[in-house]
Amino acid sequence: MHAQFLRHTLLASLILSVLAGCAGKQAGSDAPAPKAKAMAVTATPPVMPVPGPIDPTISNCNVTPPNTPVTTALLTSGTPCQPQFVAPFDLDNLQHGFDYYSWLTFIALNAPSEGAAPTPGADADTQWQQFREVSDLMLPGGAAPGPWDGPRVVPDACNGIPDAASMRVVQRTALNKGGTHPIEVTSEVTQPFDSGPLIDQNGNFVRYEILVNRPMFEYIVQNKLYSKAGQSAFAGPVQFPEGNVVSGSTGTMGAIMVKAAWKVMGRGDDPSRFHTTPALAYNPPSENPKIPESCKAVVLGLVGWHAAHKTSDAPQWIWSTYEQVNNVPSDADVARSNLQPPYNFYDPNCKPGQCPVNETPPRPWNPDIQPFPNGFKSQITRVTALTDATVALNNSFRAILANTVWQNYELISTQWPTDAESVVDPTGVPAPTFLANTTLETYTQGTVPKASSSCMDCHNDAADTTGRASDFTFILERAR
Amino acid sequence: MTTPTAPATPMQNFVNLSALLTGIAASKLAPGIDPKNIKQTYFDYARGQDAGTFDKLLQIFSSNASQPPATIADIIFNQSGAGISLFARSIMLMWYLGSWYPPSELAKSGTGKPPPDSTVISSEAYTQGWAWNVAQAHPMGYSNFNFGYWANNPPSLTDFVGGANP
Amino acid sequence: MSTSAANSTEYDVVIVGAGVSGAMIAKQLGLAGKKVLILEAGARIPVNTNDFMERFYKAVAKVPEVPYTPDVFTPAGSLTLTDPATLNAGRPNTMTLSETTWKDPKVAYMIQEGTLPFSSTYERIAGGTMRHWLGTSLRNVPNDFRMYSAYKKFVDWPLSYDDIEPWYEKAEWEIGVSADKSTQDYLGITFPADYQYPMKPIPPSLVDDAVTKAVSGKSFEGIPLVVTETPAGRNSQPYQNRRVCAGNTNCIPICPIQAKYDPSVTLNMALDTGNVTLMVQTVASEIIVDANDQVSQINYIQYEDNLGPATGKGSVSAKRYVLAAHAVETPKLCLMSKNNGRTKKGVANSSGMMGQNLMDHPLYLAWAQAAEPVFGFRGPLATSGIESMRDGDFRKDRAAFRIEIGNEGWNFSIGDPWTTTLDFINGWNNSQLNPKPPATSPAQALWGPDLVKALNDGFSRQFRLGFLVEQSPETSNYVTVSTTQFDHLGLPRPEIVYDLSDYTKAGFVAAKKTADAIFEMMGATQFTTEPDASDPTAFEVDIDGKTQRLKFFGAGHIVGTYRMGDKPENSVVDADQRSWDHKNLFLVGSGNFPTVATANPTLTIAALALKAAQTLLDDLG
Repeated sequence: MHAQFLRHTLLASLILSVLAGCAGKQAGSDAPAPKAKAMAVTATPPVMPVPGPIDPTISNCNVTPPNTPVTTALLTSGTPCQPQFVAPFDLDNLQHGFDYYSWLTFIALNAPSEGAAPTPGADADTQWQQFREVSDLMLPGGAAPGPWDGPRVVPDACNGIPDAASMRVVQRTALNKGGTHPIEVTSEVTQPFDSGPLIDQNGNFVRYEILVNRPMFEYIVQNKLYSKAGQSAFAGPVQFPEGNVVSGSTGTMGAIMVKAAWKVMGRGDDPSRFHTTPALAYNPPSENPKIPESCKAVVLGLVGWHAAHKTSDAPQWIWSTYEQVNNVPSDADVARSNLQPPYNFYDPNCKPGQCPVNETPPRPWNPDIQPFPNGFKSQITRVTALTDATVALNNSFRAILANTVWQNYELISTQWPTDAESVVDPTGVPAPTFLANTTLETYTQGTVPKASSSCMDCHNDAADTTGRASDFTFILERAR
Repeated sequence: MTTPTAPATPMQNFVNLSALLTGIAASKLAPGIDPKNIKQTYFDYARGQDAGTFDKLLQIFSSNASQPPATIADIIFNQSGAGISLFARSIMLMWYLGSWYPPSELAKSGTGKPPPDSTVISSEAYTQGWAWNVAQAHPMGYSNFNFGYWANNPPSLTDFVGGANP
Repeated sequence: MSTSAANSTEYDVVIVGAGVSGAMIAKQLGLAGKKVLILEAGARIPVNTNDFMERFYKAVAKVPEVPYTPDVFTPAGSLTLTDPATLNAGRPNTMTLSETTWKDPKVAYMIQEGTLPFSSTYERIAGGTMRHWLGTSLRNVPNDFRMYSAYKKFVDWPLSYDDIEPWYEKAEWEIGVSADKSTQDYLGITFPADYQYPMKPIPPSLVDDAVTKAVSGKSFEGIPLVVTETPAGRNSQPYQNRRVCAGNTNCIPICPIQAKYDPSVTLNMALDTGNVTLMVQTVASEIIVDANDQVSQINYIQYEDNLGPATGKGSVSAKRYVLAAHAVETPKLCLMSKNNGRTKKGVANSSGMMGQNLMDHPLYLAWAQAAEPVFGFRGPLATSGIESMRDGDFRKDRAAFRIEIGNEGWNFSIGDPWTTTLDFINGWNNSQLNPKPPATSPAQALWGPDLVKALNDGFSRQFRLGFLVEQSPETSNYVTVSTTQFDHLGLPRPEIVYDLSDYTKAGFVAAKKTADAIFEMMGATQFTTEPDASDPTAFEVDIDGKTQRLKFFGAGHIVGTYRMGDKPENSVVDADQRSWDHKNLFLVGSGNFPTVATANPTLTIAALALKAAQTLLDDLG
C-alpha cells in the first residue's frame, strides 16, 4: 500500500524528467531566454532591460536524503530545491523528511551565501536578509520596484540617523490572523483587528518583516503584480514558480517567503544568544491610533522565523517554522513547573491574575509609546508542545551548530500537504493539522478548525487586491 | 486492504465495514497518510459506547468478508438482531454527520417522531462529516474552497467519495 | 460586592450597548477626541475565535445564538436549555419557540403573553446581535420612508431617502459592502454619480442562476420578478485586514474566517483611538433623570461570571447618554427607570409609546427541489434576492416583501443534511424524499452506493426561498417589563405581546402564491409543508376560499419600540434620535424605526448611528 503522497511525488518526478528543459508549468516560462545582463540605463529613451528567467535552472540543489546522518558536512550542503524522502513513506517518516528539509533550509538560508556554513557571530550575515522585503516591493502609488539588488528604501524619518543606509528597516509591529498584514497603511479602513502585538519583558513591541527570494520577486515584477493596476491587468491565475529537482542536483529553486520576528535587545537580554542586526525601528504614520512617523536605531534579536517554499510536490507550499529557544514555556512546562527562565515572553514570577496567559495587550496599540503603558508585557505559553521526534531532530542539528548562535534556535514543526493534488480540498490536507509560532501566531494557537492557526488553511484564503486567489501569499494584497 | 499473509486488524475491519456500509471508499475514510486520523477517533468512540456489540459487529464482518457486499449487509441488517443493525446504523451516522446517535435513540425515533438525541463527537468530527461531501459541498462552517467557487459546478461525486467499494 | 464609580475620567458620552450602533458612535466620537464609556451587559471581545467556533462545531442544534455567550445549553453540547433566571445577562434564543417552550419562563428569557410568539432573538455580548447577522446590506427604497404619503398606510419617517443617503454611503464603507451600484438603483433608489460601493459584488450562486433563468422577463400579478445581487457585508476583496469570503455557508451563526463584517471590527477601531473605554459584564440598571429633565447618571451592576453573583455596582455620568441596547433591552431599561416615581411611566416615555410597535420581518419559507442539480450548501448563505416586489400600489392593501434566495439547501427548511441522512440510513421519511410524493411505498433503509446516490440526488437539487414580509406597526405589539420574572441580578425580564395583523397576513398569502408561481416557472418540485397543528409560530388564513395554516419565522429583525417621529405626542425620539423628553439622551438602533420597511435593517441602523454620532459631535462642540 503506497501512500498517496508518494504516488504524487513519483508521478511528478517522472513527468518533470520527461519535460526537462521545458521549465515545467510555471508561469513566465515563455519569456525569451536571457540575452544579456541588464545594463545600466544610459541612453534616452531608456532601453527596457530584457528580463531574465523568473526561476532559472540551477545545478546546486541540495538533495541530501533525510536518512543521512546529521554531521557538520550538512552545514555546507546548500538550499534544497525540494524535500527528499526515503522509505517508509508513512506519516511519521514523511514528517521526518520534511523536518529534515526544514533544517537544511534553515542552515542554508542563515548562511552568508549559498553553500557556505552559517557563521558563528550573533550579527552574522544571512542569505535571507538579502531577500527583498515586502515594503520595498509594494511601493506607494504602485511604483515599480527597483532591480533585485537595488538599495532598500529608507524612510525620510530615518535619514538623520548615522549609517541609516546600511541598517535594516524593520517596520511592522502588529501581526494578525493571516500574520502578514501591515500596520503602516494609514487609511482607517485597513487597521488590523482581532489579533495584537507581542510585547517583550521590557515592554517593547516585537517587530516583523516579510521577505521574498529572487524567483518570487521576479515573478511579481515581471507580471507587474506589485501594483493594483498590474493585478487588474493580469489575466492568469497567480502561480508562483515551484522548486523542483529535475535530475541529480539540477533543478529550480522556486518561490520562498521568509517571515522574521525580532525583539529589541534590551535589559535582561543576552544578545549573544540571538541572531542580531542593527536596525531602524520605523513606525509609519497612522490615523488611528494617531501616530506620527518615527524612526529609532535599535539592535534587534531574531525570535521567530518562518520559511514557506513552493515546490512541485507542495503547491500549497511547505511551511517551516523556527523559534529562539528561550521564547516561552509550553503549557505542559508550566503545569509541571518545569520552567527554565529567563524567557523572552513569559515571566514565571507573575501570577495568572496579574499576567493572564496568551492575552492581547489592551488597546490602543501604539508602538510610539514604548515601553507599553502600565507595565504590560505579554505572558505567552506554547499551547501545543513539540513532538518527541522533532525534539530529537532538533538536538542533532543544534549539536552541529554548536559554537554558532544558531544552536539557540529550534524547529517547531513543518506543515506539508498530505494530499497535494486533492480537488476536493485545496489545502491538500495539511500535516500537522495545526501549527503556530508563538511569536507570529501568538494569539491563535489551538486545535479548533478554522479558528486556530494552520499555515495552509489560512493562506489558502489569500487573495490579491482584485479578490483573485494569490497562491497562498498575502503579499499581493498590499499592492497600491 | 487485507493481505493474504496477515489477518485483518480490528481497525482494518472497522474501516472496510464502514466503507461497505457508507458507500464511501475506504481510501477516503482512512487515507494512507491520515494526519486527522478520524478513523481512530471513531473506532475508540464507538467501541467506548458498547464494546461487546462493537466487537461482535466487527467479528460478523470479518467472518463474512469474502461474501458479496449485499450478503454482508443482509447479515448485518436482517439476520443478526436489532442490536447489531442499530449499532451499524449508529456507525454510518457517525461517519456521515460526525455525531453519535445511540442505537437506543434510533430505536425510539422514526417518521413523524422527534429526531433522535445525539452528541457531536468533536469539532474535527463535525468538519469531517461525509453528508456534505456526498452533497458535493462542505460542512457548513468548514470550507477549504476559494472565493467565488460557488459560481461554478463542484468537483464530481467520485472526486468526493472515491471509487468503487473495497 | 464593591461599589465603583467609573467617574474618575470625565466622559463626554456614555453608551449603553457595544453592538453596531454603540461601536459606530464610539468610533466616530473617539476619532474626534471625545471621551466615551461603553457599558456592555455581556462578555468582552475574545482574543481569538477558538471558543466561538468550538461551541458552534460541538453544538447539536446550531442555532444563531450558539457560538456566543452565555451558553444556550447547559452543559454545552447538550440540548438542555440554560434557565434564564440563573443568568445575569440572559437573552432569547430560537430553541424556545415550540408549543412547550415559548411560554415557559424556565427556558424562555422573554415572557411571551401575546397571541403569537415573537420569534426573533438578539445577543448580549460585545459586538452585539450583528455577531450572527447574514451580511445583507440593502438600502431601504424611498417609499419605505413615506408609507403614509404614498399609500396612506402607517406613518412617514421624519427622514427621507435623500436625508439618509449620505449616511448609507458612510455605513457601506464602514461595514465594507460588496456590490455594484448599477444593480441597486431600483424602485427609486439613487446614488451620487461619483459614488461606488467599496468592493465588487459577491458572485451569484448556481441556485441564483437557476432562479434567474426561470423568472427573467416574467411577472407575478403584474409585478416583474427581477433577481438582483444582494449587497453583502462580506469581503469580495481584502478589506479592513480581513480575508475574502471563502463561502463557508455559515454567515449565520458565525463566519469562521471573519470575512463577514461584525461590529467587533469597529469596536476595536474605537478602542484604538485611545478615547474609548469598554466596561463589559456591566448591566445598566437605571437611568437617573434630574429635576431639569436631563439624564444625570446611569447606574449599573457588574458580574464576573454570568451564572455567578453580582460583584459590583456603580454609576456613571457624562454630558450625553446614548442607549444602544437594541429594541428589547433599550425600552426595558427605560421602563425600569422610575426614578422613585418621578418618571412613573419610565424614562423618555411621556408619549406612553415606549415599547410599542414591536415589529419584525416575519418570514415565509418555501422549499423545493430544482429540476437539475443546483448544488446548495455552497457559498455564502444568500447571494441574491428578488427586490422588485418591495414597492408598488399593492402596499395600500397588503404587506410588501423581498425574496431571499437561499444557498444552504434545506438546512433552514428541515434541518438538512441531518434529517435526510437519518431518513435514508434508518428507513424513515421526515424529509419527504424517502420516497418522494406521490409515491407511497415504504421508506427504505439504504447502505453503500445506493445510499450515496440517494443522498446526492436529494441534496444537490435542494433550495429554498425566504420571503421577508413587512410587518405593520401596531401599538398592540409591545415590549414591557415583567412584574413576575427576573434575571439573576434581580432585574425584570422583558415581557412581549405580539401578533400579526390582517395586512401582514395578506402579505404572507401573496408570498405563498409568489413562491408557488416561481417554483412552477422553474419546473421545481415543491416540498413546503404545512406546520404541525401544535406549532405556535403559525396562523390560519383564508387563501382563495380555503383555510390554510402558514408558518412564520423570525428574521432576527427587532424593530420599532421607540419610534422616531416629528411630534412628541406620536413618537419617542425626534429625527435626530434624541429623546423628546430628555435633551441629553439619544436612543439609537432599529428601535427607532417608525416602520420595519422592506430592507434588512442593519445598513439603516448603521447609517442612523453614524448620523447620530454627527449630531452628538455638533452638540458637544
